[in-house]
Amino acid sequence: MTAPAALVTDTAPVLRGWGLDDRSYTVRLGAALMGVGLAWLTDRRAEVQGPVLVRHGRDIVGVRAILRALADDALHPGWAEPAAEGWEERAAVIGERFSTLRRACLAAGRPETGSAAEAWTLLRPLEDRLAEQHEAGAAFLGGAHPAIADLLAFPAAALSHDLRLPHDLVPATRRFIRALRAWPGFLTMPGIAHYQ
Amino acid sequence: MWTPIALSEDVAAGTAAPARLGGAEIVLWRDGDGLLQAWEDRCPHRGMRLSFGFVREGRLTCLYHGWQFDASARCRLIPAHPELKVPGTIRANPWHVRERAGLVWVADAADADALPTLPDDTPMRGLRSLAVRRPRAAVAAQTGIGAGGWIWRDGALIGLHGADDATSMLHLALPQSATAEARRRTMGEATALRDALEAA
Ligand code: FES
Repeated sequence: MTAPAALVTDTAPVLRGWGLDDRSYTVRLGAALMGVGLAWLTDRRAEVQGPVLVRHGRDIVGVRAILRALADDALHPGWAEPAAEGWEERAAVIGERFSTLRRACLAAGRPETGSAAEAWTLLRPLEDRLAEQHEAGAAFLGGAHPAIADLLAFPAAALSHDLRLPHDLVPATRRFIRALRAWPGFLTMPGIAHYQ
Repeated sequence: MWTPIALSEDVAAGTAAPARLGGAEIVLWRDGDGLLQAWEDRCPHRGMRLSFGFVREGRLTCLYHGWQFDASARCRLIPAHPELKVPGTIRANPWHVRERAGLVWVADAADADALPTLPDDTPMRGLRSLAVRRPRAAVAAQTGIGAGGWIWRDGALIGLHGADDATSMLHLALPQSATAEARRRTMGEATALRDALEAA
């Protein structure tokens, strides 16, 4: 299966982001999986302030709001479906907090004391939810099709080893990573490979 | 001693998965036909974790420089030297591995004959593996799980292994005949058990 071709036109939304920033990655990944064309402008400020999407002459900030805007143009309506039980909000909190912790760890050159404990606190509800979903026959937080909640949670899941939470301890999360990685159009970032 | 370290179904055909046993890093991988291997999670070339690698045509391929290892743990191809007949001494370091009762069990060479410590081969299906932030000895003492690393409780098989000094993992499996309702209930009980163990 190949990804739907995402056409980058003059009127395509523009992402002002940073290549090593997990939030900028979330937006690039979302656009690629949704099949939405996205132009890219490198902007180092995104490393701290987060990415900005310029769409129809407006600046949109906040990863969740950006993904919501992109989902309006998505080819498959599943992307715009809100995940059940507040999981879109919860995933947004997990993603933001993880990003802050990860930046602190990378700036320090090593995982800081306490970051692994907080990573556990953040990622355990995700692991529990994904285990329950798997038992119910669903690969993603809301169902069988990925949605915004899954995109928001994905970098925290896939890069958890940056905070010393190794993947052998979270088998349901590992399964989720594999499922999204196999989705047509998947993109990588440093630390997240695409090989299976 | 054979130790349960994962659910069988958590190592899908054609994939590799990481595990740790007392801090020792292990890669579990299956070829496309479902044959399972357990090796030290370390490439003999430059030490990359083999669990980051990928499985193609019955071989585990290291992500770093692409060395390929077959099911006998021998390196069969070094892409930088495709004509080279790879010496048989270049090989991954295997553990003994078995699948029984829905779980993956490993043993090092010295303990591989200790088969009687495994449960009988009732057809089982894995339910869930979950991490407990407590050392193995503490979890074993609180749950009554013995040195064999497993116990039957309320119709469920519960396996236990210590991932590292501070963290254990519980592995649950139920008979294949268990209803969806029984599986859901046991799932909830497992989460409650984990939370109680950590609160103790
Ligand atoms: S480290 Fe594995 S091939 Fe080089």
